Amino acid sequence: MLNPKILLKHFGIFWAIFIALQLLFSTAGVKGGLARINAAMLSNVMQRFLPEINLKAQAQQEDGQILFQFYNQEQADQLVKKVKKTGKAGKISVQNYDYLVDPSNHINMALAFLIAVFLATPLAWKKRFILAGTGIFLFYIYSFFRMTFRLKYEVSQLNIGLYESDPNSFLSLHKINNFLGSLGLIFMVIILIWALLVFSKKNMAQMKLKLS
Amino acid sequence: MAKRTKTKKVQANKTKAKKQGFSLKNWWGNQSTALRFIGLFALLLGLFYTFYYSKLNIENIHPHVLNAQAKLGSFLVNLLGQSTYADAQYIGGDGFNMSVSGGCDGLEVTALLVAGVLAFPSSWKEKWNGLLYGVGILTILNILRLPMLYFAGAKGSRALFDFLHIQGGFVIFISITMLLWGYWVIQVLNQRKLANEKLKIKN
Repeated sequence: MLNPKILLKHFGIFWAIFIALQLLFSTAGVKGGLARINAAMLSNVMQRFLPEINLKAQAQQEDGQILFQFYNQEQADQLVKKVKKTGKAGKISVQNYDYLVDPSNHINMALAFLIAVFLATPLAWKKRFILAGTGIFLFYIYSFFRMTFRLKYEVSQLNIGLYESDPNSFLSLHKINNFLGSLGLIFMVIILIWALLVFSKKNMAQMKLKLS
Repeated sequence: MAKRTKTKKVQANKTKAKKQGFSLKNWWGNQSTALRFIGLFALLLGLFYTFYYSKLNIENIHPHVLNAQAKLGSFLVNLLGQSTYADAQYIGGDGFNMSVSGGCDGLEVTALLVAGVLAFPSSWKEKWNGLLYGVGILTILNILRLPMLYFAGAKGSRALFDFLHIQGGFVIFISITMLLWGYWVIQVLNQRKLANEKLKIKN
């Protein structure tokens, strides 16, 4: 027979890990470190999906926020061409835009939740860590996808001729951004990742043993 | 023995499917229980979000749900000696206003539980019990959360309000949802085991 009290023990483990990680992620050093890692990964990946803009992401050391700076690449290329045509060396000036993102809820808290969920799953500890690692990888793929749409939407709002779409169309950037950006969906995605990785025949048998 | 019977059943399904050509029902029956659970779970969540973000819900249904929650929240706060009012999705009074908005309505976590219960291989009677208790508990907790949030904002601090709003809104509720679902699954599996043992004794 499975013992529901053991489930409560794992619920306790979840909360202990989640609170510990939240406290850890809120310390200036770790927050800044996470922001640096996220900024480096995000700018590299997002630049590939948004070639129309020249993108740089920087971590703000003091509050762990991520500052995206970008300009219209096509506009810059045209200006360079103009200067080249003159045959003389010259300077070009393009409008730079800033977009500040606070990753504390949508990335850091979600990451703490994901790690806590996997580490509190009644499986062998080695398996929990392996699954948590895989889960983090899948979560980052989703986060890159979400952030790319978020930035695309922000650029579209600047009215600089990039990514502008009819807000009333069926799949407008506005709607996609609203959907992907909701905190609820992020947690649902984490639960789906968890279910996808945890519910295998072998794991189910192991979980039954742990809960007996 | 049971495993052999199951393998035979799967092979029989495959042969039948080959004879009849492709059939979605047969294909679904040949998938592992875990994969079927995840597939159905994801599908149900997908259906929920399609509805949740539909124009029909956003314009015609959701505002009424939020208004009802705000009214109920304001009523409960007033029962505790405060003087608040509910207007559309807002609860206001004593120099503090808060809005019950999408994401704070508890519908996503309720959908998570409903999808988990419906997707898990169990009888309709078991599912009905799970839905009744699970959705009931989540609804009560969500209704109680609103006065708690109001007091945290009006009498406590901004930090406490933010903590209860964000962490309380999602992490506490999702973890409780998973606990309720896990508890229900354990009950279903235990009852099934008991029923099997009784059957063995009879035979």
